[in-house]
Amino acid sequence: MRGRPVDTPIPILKLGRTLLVPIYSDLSDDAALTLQERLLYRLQETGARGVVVDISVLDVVDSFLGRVFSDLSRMVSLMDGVTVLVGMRPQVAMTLVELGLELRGLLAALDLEQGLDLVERRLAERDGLVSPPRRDDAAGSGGPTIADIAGLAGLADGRGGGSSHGG
Amino acid sequence: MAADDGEIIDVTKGEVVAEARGLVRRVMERLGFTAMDITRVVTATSELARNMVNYAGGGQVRVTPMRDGARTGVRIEFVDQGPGIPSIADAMRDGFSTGGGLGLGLPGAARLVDAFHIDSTPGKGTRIEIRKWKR
Repeated sequence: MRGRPVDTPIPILKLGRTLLVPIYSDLSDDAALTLQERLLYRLQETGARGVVVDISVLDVVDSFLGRVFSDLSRMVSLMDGVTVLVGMRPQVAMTLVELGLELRGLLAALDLEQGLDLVERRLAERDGLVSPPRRDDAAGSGGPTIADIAGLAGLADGRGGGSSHGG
Repeated sequence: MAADDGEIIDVTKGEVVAEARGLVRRVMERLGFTAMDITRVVTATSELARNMVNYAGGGQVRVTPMRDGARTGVRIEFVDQGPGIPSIADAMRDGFSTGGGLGLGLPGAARLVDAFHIDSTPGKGTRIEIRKWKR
């Protein structure tokens, strides 16, 4: 990971009905917000229904970027789409949880392939093509959420409640 | 301790927070910290630098290598001339989420480092110092 953030916009690639976003450098605040906005416009232009954000290069996701991703997920959902973060590094997952960020509702997958698969499964559920599995899990079918990756399965249901953590 | 040879960056707006991250990352990589420790400390830096922008109109981030006998570490100071924190006890109360205390995310940032020190005078400003040692 280079020290300095770059100014070139993050590429947005289209694969079928999913937009792929390979984040290749640390993002400044402005770059993160611009990316969020560009993605929503691209969704509209292309009619895409999925967004897969590859963060495997990132060694830091702070509360600002976490919030940008979380908001993006909700915004994409309002546009009838599904967002999945892929490639979160273990140290990032650990740090996010240690920081106490909830990032509720954010779907995660370990790699691009699983991310695309998760998008398709979720869209099929959303479109009523398959019934969601009977599970005590408000987050819906398959795919680990951020909390799962960090080993806190109890928080994965999105039913919230700030859990208290030894200070 | 080794002589002060810190690098300073003035953080005046959100855009510069990323540069502060870059500076800390570079220094810690040069000192040979692990990836896990770099992630933790750079993340804490981001949170604390952004607080200065959001609540104090900006401030200064100073990154200084530390040497104490055989130990190597990094010390990062966040200094602003903002309104200060009226109740540090409140700010440090652990609410787990970054909404804990006064919403400054201080308990969270403190969990990511070995030492966390805060000095604040309402009306004058705030100084936060964090330290991390190589294992």
